[in-house]
Amino acid sequence: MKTCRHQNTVEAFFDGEAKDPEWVEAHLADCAVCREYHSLLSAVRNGIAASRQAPSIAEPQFDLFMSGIAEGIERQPRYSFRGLWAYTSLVTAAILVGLALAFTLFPANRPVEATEIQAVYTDYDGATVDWYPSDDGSTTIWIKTAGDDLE
Amino acid sequence: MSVAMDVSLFFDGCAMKENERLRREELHLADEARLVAWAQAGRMEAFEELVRRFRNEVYALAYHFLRNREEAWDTSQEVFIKAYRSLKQFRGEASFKSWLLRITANHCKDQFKKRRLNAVAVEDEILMNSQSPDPHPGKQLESKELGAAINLAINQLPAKHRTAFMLREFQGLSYEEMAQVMQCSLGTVMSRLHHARKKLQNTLKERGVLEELQ
Ligand SMILES: [Zn+2]
Repeated sequence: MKTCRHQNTVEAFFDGEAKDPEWVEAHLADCAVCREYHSLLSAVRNGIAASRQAPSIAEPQFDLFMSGIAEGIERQPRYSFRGLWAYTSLVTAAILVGLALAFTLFPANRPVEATEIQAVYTDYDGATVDWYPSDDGSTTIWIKTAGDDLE
Repeated sequence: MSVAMDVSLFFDGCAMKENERLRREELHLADEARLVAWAQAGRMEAFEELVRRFRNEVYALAYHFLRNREEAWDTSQEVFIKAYRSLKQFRGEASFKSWLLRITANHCKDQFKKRRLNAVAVEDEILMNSQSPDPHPGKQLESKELGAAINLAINQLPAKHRTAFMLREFQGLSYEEMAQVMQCSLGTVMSRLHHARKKLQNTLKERGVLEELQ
């Protein structure tokens, strides 16, 4: 398939977003490659339009649709099971690491002064764990799960 | 019960109905920003009005991703539940519609990962088409086949490209709206769309569908 460096501009024109539509029209008159590309874009769009109907939720179905949402809002816990599971496993991992370090670093009859966390890991995709020791000997563990993205 | 009391109750009932009518009218006439503010303040009926306004955009996008009406219905409900819980995080930088479609696309992307689309999806589309009366049966069969081929090709696109293509071709969003939904620059929108179209054309060409289309 032949290409032309102006195909991006032709696409923007096809989508009604060209900055200079007159220039694109003139280019289409001159460039057979872009003309073919433009007709392909139209053919695919027409193919989609001919083969489908946009589904919708009709007004009589709305109450049923909304009642499911209202139920979900009332019943569903604030955190999903997946999120809760991730939090639980992260906190458990952090506590286990802390305890293991405490037993290793401080023998049984020696008072524990502070728990030093040297590493925390998780296999939960995208989650991060940070910790912040303070002067009073306590440590804040900060757990963040991955946010939404379209990557 | 005295007659005076009956009359009083009757007028109370009328007043309540009138209040309800006025409240519904107020919601119906309110602009998007006001409805969002009311919903954020905890007015459920304002959120319900937002659901009423945007249900079909959310449902259509979910359907185009999942190709199954039941799943699209459930997914749309989950999207609105998620939106309700996240209302406080919406600050109006993008339009409410873009924000909702972003949640929808993310939600569908997760579901799409769980199950790669297969023949069932296309069957749903074909079943839907076969239910509508058609004055040109020959043409319908042809467009059905083309539609199935195009859908299969779309399903093979990487998630980012598929999202861009669907937002443009199925939802009819502008580049600016697409950038809001996908949280990227206009240049990235154009690039993703271009790659989607190129890949789609290559797949259709390999399957010998391009000649049919032209
Ligand atoms: Zn050209």
